[in-house]
Amino acid sequence: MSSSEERKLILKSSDNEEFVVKESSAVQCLTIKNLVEDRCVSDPIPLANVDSKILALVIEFMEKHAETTLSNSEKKEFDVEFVKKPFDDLLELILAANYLDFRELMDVLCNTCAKQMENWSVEEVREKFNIQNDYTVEEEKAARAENPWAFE
Amino acid sequence: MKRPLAVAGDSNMNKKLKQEEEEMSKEAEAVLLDDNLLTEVLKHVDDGRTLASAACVSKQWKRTAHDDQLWELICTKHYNRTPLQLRTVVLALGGFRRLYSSYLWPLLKPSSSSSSSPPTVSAWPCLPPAPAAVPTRSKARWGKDEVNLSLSLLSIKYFEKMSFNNRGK
Repeated sequence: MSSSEERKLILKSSDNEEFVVKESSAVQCLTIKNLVEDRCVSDPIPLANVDSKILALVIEFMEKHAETTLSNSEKKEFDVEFVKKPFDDLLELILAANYLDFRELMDVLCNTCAKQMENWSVEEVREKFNIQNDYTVEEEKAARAENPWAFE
Repeated sequence: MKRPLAVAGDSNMNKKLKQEEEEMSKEAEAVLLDDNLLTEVLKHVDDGRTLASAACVSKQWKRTAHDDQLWELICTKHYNRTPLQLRTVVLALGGFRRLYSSYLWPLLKPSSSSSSSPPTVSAWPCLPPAPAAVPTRSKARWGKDEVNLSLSLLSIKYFEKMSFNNRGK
């Protein structure tokens, strides 16, 4: 085994804040893993699409899930608490997880968003996801009429 | 610059929409999901109603929510390993979205005395009424049996239409 467990990486957010992380945790993000494997690691690694607030959260998740001493149920408990955040933060985290190619975080976030959607009306979904309604009144009526059972 | 034809115009429209969305997001600091990310989120929806109402949110959402693979995920969630032929057959008969909305949903919804029962159920009077044992409070519980039944109904309807077409010839 190489000494990768002791190796640290420096990640720099879009607003120039630097975070030190263990390489073994960071490589859960395939984007970072690829950089490491291709030996293209600059010091620090600039993450232009992730600001410091979100990066801190990603690192919190990353390090928790990298801990080998935690059981799966303990990690799940952590996940449940982790996603109790304002919905906008969850959306920003999704963008970050996608950019960093962090599958586990993506799955947890997308699952949370999907489950929350189940309780929302169409208008609420638009509001939470910041969607501009580009339907005309008739078009929306027609769309709803295609699946009327969804609104019973 | 020549404007592209309507057929090729879609991708340009998408680009334009995306650009507009990006601009909007910069101004309003709102996070907007692109098609891929939206699909990722919708993959985790396991309730057909949510997916169907997602199609009414906006045109981008309609395009994404109508992806048959998302409906396939919902219809096959009770299969550990989806039978290989299932997708081929269902796609040939009209797709998973049609399977769900026309046949699976009428079986799953609580058997209330509402008058808004879909016509598809009444088209087969020989069938027993929807099982009253389906719990009405929370989500309906369903499994492979309901999927198999709705698949049979889908096939019957398809062949009914086929023979009708042949008779007309």
